[in-house]
Amino acid sequence: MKNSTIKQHKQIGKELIPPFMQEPIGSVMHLCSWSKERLPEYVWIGLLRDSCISKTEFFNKFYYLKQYMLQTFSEPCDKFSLILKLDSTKKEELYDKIKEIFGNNVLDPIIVVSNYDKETRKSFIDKSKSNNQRIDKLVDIIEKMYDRHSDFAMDVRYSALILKINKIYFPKQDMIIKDAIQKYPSTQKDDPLLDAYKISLSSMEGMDFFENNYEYSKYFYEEMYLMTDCKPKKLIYPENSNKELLIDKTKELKKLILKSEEIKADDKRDVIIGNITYVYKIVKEIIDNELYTSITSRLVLRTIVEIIINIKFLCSQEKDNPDIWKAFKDYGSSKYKMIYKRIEEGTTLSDNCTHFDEVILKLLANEIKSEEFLKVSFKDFADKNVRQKFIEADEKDLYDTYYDYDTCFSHGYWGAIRESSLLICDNPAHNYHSVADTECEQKLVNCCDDLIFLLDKIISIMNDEMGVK
Amino acid sequence: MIENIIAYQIEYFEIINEFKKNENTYDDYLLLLDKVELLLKRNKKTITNFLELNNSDYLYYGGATYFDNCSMEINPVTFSGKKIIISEPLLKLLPFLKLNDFFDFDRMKEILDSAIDNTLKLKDKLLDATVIYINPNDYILEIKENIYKTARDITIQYINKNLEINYNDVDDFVHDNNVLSFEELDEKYPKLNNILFTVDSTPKMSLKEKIIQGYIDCGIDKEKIKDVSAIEQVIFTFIGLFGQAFELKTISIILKCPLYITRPNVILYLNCFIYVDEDDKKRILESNVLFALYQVLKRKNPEQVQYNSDYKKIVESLSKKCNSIDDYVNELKKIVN
Repeated sequence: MKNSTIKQHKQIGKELIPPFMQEPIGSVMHLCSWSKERLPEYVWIGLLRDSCISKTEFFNKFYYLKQYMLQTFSEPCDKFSLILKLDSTKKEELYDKIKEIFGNNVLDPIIVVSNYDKETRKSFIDKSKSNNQRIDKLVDIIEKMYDRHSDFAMDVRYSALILKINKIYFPKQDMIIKDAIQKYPSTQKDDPLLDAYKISLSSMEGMDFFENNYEYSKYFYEEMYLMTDCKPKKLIYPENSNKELLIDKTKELKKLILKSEEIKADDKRDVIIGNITYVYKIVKEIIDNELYTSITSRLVLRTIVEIIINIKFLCSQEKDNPDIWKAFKDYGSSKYKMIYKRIEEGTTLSDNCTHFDEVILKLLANEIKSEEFLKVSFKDFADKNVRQKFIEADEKDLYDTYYDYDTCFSHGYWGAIRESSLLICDNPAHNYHSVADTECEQKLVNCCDDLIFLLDKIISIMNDEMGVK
Repeated sequence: MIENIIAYQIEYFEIINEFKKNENTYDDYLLLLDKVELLLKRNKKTITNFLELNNSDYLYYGGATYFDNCSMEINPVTFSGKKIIISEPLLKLLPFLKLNDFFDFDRMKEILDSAIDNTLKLKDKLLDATVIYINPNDYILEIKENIYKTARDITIQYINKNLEINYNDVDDFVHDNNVLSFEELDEKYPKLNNILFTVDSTPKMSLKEKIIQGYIDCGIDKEKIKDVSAIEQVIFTFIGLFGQAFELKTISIILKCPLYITRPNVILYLNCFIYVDEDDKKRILESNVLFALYQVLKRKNPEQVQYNSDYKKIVESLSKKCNSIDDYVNELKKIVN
């Protein structure tokens, strides 16, 4: 299936709405999941299907079961939870019929997820089988049924549908669905009509006509979750790190910083060299601690990108606003001022915050000018939002890729959390849930090349703006 | 987390109590064991997560059938102040119950009922999670085949080293000695008897006597293996012993807690395996200290034994200065007395 493009999304307020979620369908559509809500109810049919070698053999046998069930039961009993609710005699009769058609122990695995139902156990138990074998079989069936479009799942879903077919009214003109119902069992894999039938049947089976109760499915998955182990899978990325080149770049940067000390100090030099030294130090931290594939590396990349933009933006504004370097310093100092003032004046509690010294904060804030002359600005030093600054610095691509991606990490957005801290569990009985990566096994793509790319930009700034080569 | 483990153990007793109310048939016993097995499976995640954080408080008791709260086996546990993880006793009998054609159900019933009574005696300890039941198979099932393979590999290495021979595989060794009787094996490999230790065997026993002693412990009918050659019996016994030791080591690694073993032959074969990492080394050394503690305390009345708050320090110091279990025993005798 081809996914919709961003252009096909509709912007409503601050949201982009994909086509399926747009009105008038969007507000009335209820998403009911095959794999999560309906599949467990039909595992019994899955086991019947699995006991047959071919689709033809299965449907030949299932035809008799369907006829029997539709004639015998006035109430629907396509779902396993409904079968479990039948009275003992009826249930035993049904089980006898299933055994007669499909074989004696055909539903043996399901006894571990039937709440120790007496009749189910008595009718199907295969004493030579262990509970581990039963559970393994169920996992195998879930896996086969999980993809609702697979041939196996479709056979099961078709069977579920025809068990309730005499309860559904079809409009006369709805010929495709009628054809699909009649002809699906005998339609072979290479028949071009098969896909059309599958689509029709799929939409039909998905509707829960009689009962919308997923208690059994919940119970089934809870049991399967607890009784089977997680199979966490980590993504492994190629290790093509240019570590040596990065170390060389860092050395080059250090050389340029040292060279810049020969230049007479002014606000511009202070700001540029200060920012670049900051970059140098955090890159060194990454190198010294080998953090190339860590979450920290993403936080560092975001900081470096923002520093590059700040410097480039300041340089671009310098001509019209020579005081912009001062403004940058004042803006930063005023941030420190606000913090220690709140503490001093008792409007905030600092007892729990131990990673800074408020005296140092005060000293630094008053370093350039007395706090009495230091304005506190609630807007950015340049009165521009971040995106605008990237555009004005002619670095929109950096914003769209580096900044946006790495911001997900610094803000703890879901994408970053999912990518870095949760592993996917490859056990279908666990609904492919996420597993907390407490052993820190998931590494991220190595960031060496990106650090080199950004350091090159910084080196260019040193060359162009400071004249240091 | 501990509340969840306790909740599971309460459910365990509910199942047992419900079962005990009735006159039970063969199918009822089978259902009981299925219920227990599935309950322990459901409890596995909680136990592994719990031990991830609390492994230093627990020991895994392995290598014997039952843990008896009233016997001297409890003494090292009391001394160390630790809690204990045990293989659930009923499930050990499941394979025998399933093979009901070969076993007399009335006899099985007796054994199962006595196992239930034994468990009921531990009720208080189970309900405050001082004792935790697990089904070890749930932890090692997927690697059972590898455990067997490792046991075969280490068997041939052990035999090669001690008999000063050089075989690549146990099958080759069996092939070359398949026609020999026990007596002829003794003659060809005089050291063989000295390196085989089955449960309750004594140094004075012959090779054959030791093997038979092992069958008695495992409940194997010696009549059924009368056609198996002597060397095959020796090798099967070695593989069984190394397999058991390696299974215990694997469980110790998975649960991240030391083993508490009281049988000398089990600790001996356990010590033949190399350490997986530093944590494994620490756990195995502690297992040796616990084994030595049992030797020192096994004649004491459980009421006389008290928790020793220096237990951790004792383990550390013994691990540093002692080289053998005899050293541990001698040092511990001084401390205990």
